[in-house]
Amino acid sequence: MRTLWVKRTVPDNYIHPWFLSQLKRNEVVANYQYKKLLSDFSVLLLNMCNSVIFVLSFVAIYARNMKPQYFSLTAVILDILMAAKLFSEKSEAEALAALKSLSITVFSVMVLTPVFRSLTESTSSDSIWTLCGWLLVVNLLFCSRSLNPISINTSLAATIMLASRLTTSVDVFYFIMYNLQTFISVPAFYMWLRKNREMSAYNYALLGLTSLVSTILVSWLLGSSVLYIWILIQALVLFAVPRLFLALQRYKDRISGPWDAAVPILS
Amino acid sequence: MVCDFFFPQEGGIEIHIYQVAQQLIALGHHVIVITHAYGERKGVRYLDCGLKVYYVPFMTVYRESAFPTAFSFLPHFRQIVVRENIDVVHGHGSMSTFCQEAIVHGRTMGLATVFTDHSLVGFSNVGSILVNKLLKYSLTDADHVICVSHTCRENLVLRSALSPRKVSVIPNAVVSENFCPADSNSNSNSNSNSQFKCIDSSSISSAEDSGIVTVVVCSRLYANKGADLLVSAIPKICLMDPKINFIIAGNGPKIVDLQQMCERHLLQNRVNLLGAIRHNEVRDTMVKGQVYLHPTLTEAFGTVIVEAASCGLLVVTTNVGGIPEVLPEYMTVYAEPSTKDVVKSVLKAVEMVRTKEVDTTKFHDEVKRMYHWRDVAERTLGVYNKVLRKGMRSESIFMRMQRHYQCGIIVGKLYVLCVVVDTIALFVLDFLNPRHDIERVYGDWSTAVNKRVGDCI
Repeated sequence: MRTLWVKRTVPDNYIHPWFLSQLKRNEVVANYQYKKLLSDFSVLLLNMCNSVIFVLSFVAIYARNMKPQYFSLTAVILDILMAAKLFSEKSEAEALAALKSLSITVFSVMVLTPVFRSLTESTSSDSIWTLCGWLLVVNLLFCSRSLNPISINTSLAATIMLASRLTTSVDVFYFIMYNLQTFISVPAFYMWLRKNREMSAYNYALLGLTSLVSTILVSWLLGSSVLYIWILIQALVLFAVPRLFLALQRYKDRISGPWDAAVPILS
Repeated sequence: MVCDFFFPQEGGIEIHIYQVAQQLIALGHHVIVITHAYGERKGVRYLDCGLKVYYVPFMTVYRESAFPTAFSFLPHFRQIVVRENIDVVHGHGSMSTFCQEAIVHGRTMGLATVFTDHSLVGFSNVGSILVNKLLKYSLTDADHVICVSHTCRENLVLRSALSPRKVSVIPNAVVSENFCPADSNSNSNSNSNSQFKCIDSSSISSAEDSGIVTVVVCSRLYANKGADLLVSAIPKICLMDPKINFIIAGNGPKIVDLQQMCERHLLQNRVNLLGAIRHNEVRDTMVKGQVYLHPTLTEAFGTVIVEAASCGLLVVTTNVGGIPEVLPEYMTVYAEPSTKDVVKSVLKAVEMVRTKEVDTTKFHDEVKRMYHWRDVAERTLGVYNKVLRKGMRSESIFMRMQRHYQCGIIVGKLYVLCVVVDTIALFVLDFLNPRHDIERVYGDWSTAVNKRVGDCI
């Protein structure tokens, strides 16, 4: 049928009946399920709540003169719980390696604390707030199903930047440690728990806890009107956005055919 | 004919343009080629049979494509077209900026415009989306489009949203006289001047008796030409059959991988890497082998497999793009684009050659009957006559703007803007340098040349 070597009997621009017969549409489109999407979007919600906790903790320390030690101590309790779960599934050698890297992290933060404290002394606060806001936006944009370097780096940069606005070295140290324990390790732990994108009881607990803490902080620091908005946003992100995502799927129109470059299977 | 890609480069498009131009000259038409300058080669040059080539000095950006500007080619183009009394502008290759600009400027100047597509472009990556948008802009102005295969036509219709009635299929061809099979005494004293000379050519000629089969590969060594398949398949083939040798002609970024592969598997004696060769050396390289391997991942037509078949080689090729349309079943062994299948097919083809299951000696005469450039030129001429009769030449600028406007919500407006600017630019140029002031070529001169050199084809 599709032959170029035989002498043609029809004009060159004749439209054969088999014209475009090998065209395939939406061949490899994934079939999304609402339940699975809920689980995927819970990662986004967790990251949002986490960012809110991060910012509001700073507000509490910076503007309301709370001691960062309290935050850090609370986080230690959470951390011990997470570590217990983590080590229950890991070998002794892995646990030892994790402890080693933990102690290295603690000491290096301790050594670098004076540097962090004076890091942004010559910069005005306004620039820091703006920059930090953008870093958080980038962090949210890049949060995905797995932990990626961009989101870790933006979290760390935002943490150090806000920490550098605090007055004493002790505060800086505790604030950074607190955020390493929560802001950076909670999403990592959440994704580690979500093996094969399946939600476990721990996932629900962690998500619920993060959401609750963020809500409490919002109502305490920002008042009730913002509280309602925040609850609404959380509900939208968790339930309505996946619906929207599903609804948008019908606009997907991917065409493929023999003209696509083949993907070689190398062995 | 306008294209970024032309001699001294040698490839499918370049040879197509050259051969069709030569045939059209032989048919008594006036043909010029416009391309960008290649190094020191700029200005006006003449090739065989008085084929005039304009090498316009322009900056190139990527793989010899000129820098894309929407209007900067217009002054040169107008001068050349008016000087040469052109009626039809024929652009080649969707990756060529010159071609796309020429079609738009040609329409602005009220000429008939034809476009030939030589390649397949997907829809999924950013680069191809950009090329497709540009193509849509220029093809809105093309009277007729020619594609080299049916697959290419389907691809183009989807890319440019043209009516399939406006798209013809005219395949490439080969000069079969230049690709005749080996006779017994010609290849014994052929010596290659390769930089990677590993085996002496005398061992090849005596190979037939000992059952050694040589597989030839002739391709630019890029990833999209399947060089990775080659790298992974050759060691396996050499391991499974100690009596298969390879000759690989062509250069490209993947040649390093091939060299490393040879060293790692100690195949220097069995794989002969020739590096880049000229197109007139292709035949001499091909006839050293009995099987031709074409592991490409995308191909609109694949002239090289027709050349190989014409040389009397059994063709092993991946079953992609327009390739299945090109040669009849019995001349080819198809493979899926996977290492496993390529190995299997090469071994099958070698076995077929050894047992003389296929008679490759008849391939040359059969290919000769299938493809001829004269046939291609006559069919192209048919398209020219058609667009000269009932093209869009007399269309008003408002109709033209309307067609561009319908191309898209946002790009449509952009296209219209470009059309308006182009028209104004032409108006200014016509005012500054009126057309009747431009010196014309002597019509008699070119026909006189044609008569003199008419028998050189």
